[in-house]
Amino acid sequence: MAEPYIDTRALQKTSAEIVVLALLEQRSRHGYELAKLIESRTDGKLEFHVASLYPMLYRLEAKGWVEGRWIERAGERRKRFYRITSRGRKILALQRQSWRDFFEALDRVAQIRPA
Amino acid sequence: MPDWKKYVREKLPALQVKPTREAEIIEELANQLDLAYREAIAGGRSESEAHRIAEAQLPDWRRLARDIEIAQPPRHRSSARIWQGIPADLRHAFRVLRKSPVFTAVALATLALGIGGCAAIFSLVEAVLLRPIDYRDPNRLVMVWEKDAQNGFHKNVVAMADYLDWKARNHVFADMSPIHDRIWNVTGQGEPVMAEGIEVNDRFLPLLGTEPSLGRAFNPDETRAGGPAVALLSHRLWVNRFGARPDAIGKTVLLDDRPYTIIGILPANFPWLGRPLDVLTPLQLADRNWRVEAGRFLRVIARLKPGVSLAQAQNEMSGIARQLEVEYPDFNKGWGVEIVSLAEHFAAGSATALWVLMGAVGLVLLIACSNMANLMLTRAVIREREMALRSALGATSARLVRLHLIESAVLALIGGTLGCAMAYAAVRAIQLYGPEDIARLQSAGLNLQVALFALAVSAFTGILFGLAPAIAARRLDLASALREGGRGVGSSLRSERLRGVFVVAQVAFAFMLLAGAGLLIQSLNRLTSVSSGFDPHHVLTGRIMVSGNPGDEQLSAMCREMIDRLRALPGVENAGFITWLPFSGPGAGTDFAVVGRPPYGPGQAPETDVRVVQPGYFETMHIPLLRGRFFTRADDRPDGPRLYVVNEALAREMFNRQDPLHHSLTVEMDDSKPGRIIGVVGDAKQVSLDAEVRPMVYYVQSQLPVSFGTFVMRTKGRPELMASAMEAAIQNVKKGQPVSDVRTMDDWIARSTARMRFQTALLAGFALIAVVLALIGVYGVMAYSVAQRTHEIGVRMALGAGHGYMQYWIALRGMRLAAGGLALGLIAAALTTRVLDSLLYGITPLDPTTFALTALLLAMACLLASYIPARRVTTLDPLAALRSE
Repeated sequence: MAEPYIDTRALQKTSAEIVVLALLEQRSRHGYELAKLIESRTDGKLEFHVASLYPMLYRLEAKGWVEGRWIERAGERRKRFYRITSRGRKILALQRQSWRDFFEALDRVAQIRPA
Repeated sequence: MPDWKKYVREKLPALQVKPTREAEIIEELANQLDLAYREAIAGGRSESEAHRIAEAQLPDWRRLARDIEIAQPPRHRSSARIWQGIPADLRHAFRVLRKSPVFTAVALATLALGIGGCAAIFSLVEAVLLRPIDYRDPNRLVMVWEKDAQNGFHKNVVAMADYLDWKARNHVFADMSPIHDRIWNVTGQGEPVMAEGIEVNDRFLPLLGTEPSLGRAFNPDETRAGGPAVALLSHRLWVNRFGARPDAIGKTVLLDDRPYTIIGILPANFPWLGRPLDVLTPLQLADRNWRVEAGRFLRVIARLKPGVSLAQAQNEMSGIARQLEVEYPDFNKGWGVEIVSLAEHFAAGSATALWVLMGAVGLVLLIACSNMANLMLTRAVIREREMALRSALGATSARLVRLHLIESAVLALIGGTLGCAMAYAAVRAIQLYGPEDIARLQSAGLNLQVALFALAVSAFTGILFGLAPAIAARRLDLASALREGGRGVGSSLRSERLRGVFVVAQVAFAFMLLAGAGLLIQSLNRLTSVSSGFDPHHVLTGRIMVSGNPGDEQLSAMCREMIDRLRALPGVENAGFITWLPFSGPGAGTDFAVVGRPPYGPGQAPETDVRVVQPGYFETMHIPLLRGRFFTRADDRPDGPRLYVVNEALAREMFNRQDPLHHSLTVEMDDSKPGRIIGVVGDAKQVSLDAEVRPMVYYVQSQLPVSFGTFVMRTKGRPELMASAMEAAIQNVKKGQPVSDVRTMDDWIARSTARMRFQTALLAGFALIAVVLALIGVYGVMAYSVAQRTHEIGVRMALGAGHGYMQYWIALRGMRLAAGGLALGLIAAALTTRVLDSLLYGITPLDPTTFALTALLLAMACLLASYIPARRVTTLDPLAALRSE
């Protein structure tokens, strides 16, 4: 019997935005930090290429969900920090709810419980 | 440490975003690589390993650039893509235009005519009709007239008594001022001159919202009877007579030999209905019984109260007029009030003509555009191969459309600039030679509004005539265009049909203009062939205004002496004198009655014009005597029996078949003393050639003294050469007497038709341009069609068609287009010529002769335009034609 196979790429794509928003919910971060966090917290399972991180940040910024701002710290190069906007928070809440609903439905039918 | 910014800049393809945004993105990506590199170094990797790790972060730069671009909001996107390559396209357009000088010259001339004509007429329309009047809140200003609709008097001058009652009773006007026109002899310092002036009340300047630039306006005390003699002078008079010295205030100026203290100077650009105005004096109102002692002689200007509409004002004033009709039936029966906005008053008479001309230049512009479209389309077909090649080399169809539009825009802008230069010259010419009585015409010029208008017109034309070939370029079938070796038959058939449509439209537009011009030319012919009732040729006129009110006898004696001096001049046949010379402006009129007939009810009395003459006037003007006799010197006595000469219209209206010489009249001028009719003279036109002659009573001068009038003098030679002799003869009798308006009677009549000649000349000019452009269009299409069909013609001739038949075959194609244009034009003209109705004289807007002549003329011209290319067939060698590919 073949090993069960799940194509996670589609999931990754739709979940990428919620991940970024969630990471920015606690505090503002710059791009490199975000990339590192995603890599470490998902054990590399959510393989999140830097090349798609920046276009996504710009897209979220264009939508008004996050806000980028250059911040200079003493002795460091200036970095662009992103923080979540109030609109972004609402979207995050909505997305969380719909993911929850989705998993509950999935659980009722296929006994898949989110970790 | 590697320079990551430089690295990113090198790797990342150019982004279509604004440069500042692009710099930020580069910096952010460089940061990413930099941090990754540093981390690798800190983790103990070698520099080259660390470099590789950093590089691996962003492997696909093209995709990254694309993703970033898509993610950018519109405000960050740069417009660079749209503008890219425009300089090259511009250079290309100039090169192409230089390479075909004939095409460029024809195109530019066409455009300059179209745009220039439009800009010129628009600058007139802007100055005369559109520009707001220079008064404060001009929309609230109105002229208030009396009207007697029953007798056909509209916008009639106002009686002082009525003005005073209106002022006392109305609730709709914030301010009102009477205006009394005066002509002054200005003497004392400098040359004696005649100056136009008005008498007004103290509210006049505040009402307009104007203040004197120097000194002060009138105060209420100065407008009472017996008030001080004070005057405001125009800026021009102040500069000419007082050298613009500020100490002129407080000095005196002699007006009709009476000293007036100068209290103020009007602003340099003081606009008074667009005409020169030199003297402003207070109208000093004595407490008189105005209804008994005076007639209607004022103009009245008023400012509406805030929130009161013109209709409300008209409503209330009509009510007041009805009250006055009841209270004073003798004077007011039948008289109402007519309120006209000042803007309408300004534009009176010229609005229709100017809008018609604007429409006409619009048509010329459309013809110019379609001609241009035709030219461009023809070129587009010729250049189909070039376009196909460009397309094959990767130019998008948008790029090709842009190329066409840029070429058209370059042409339109150069043509527009030429057109502006032409418009400037045309406006100057119109101001110098056009009619003098159009208010504000002189203020027309190429101002910002006109320039913007010309620019808009140029852009519009550019897009309009660039669009046709541009659309054709979009439809380009690449393979067939390249395969057909430049002949492009498929698309040329399509564009030939389009060109046919343009030619039909051009002929139709030209027909409309030609028909309109034809109607105006015929009107002008009819008008100028109307007899004035006198012989205006070889007559010189000169106006005087006698200062200081000499006694009746004295005034008349002085005029007689002046006439004698004029008659004594060598080359002078006769001389006379009349108040209110025909064709020189409005005159006097009043009620009258035939003695012995039952009295008329209030407002029922017939009206007559009144003129005062010196014996010799009728003889000088060659006004024929129909019955009785002319005045003689013996009649010219104030104490003698009252005598009248009447015109034929009065005799006909009042006496029918009876002999007027047995009757007497009472005429309500200074008195109503009955006077005997001693003669009946022919009708002479007074106001204009197209006006009906009204009844007329002539007085002999000493029986109704008026202190101004015009000498008329019939000469053997050219009258204008006698001008200085006339002035000298008059000044011989009264030293320093100014003589104004020294001009020929022909000139006066010409002035009265000046507007009509002006609009006719302009419309005829536009029609001519339109016809020429349309013929260029027909010729161009036919010539091109012959060139394109050389092969087909060769085949037909090889199969036996003779030269004559081929000429007929080709000319027929041209005539088919022309016929379509003529039919369309006929319908369009029939629908539109009615706008000319008020400009026509003695002809209907649908005059069949004019329409038939227009059609014939245009058909012949089109035949010629299509015959010339058809003739080329005779020079065609059938074998060569067959070979042509």
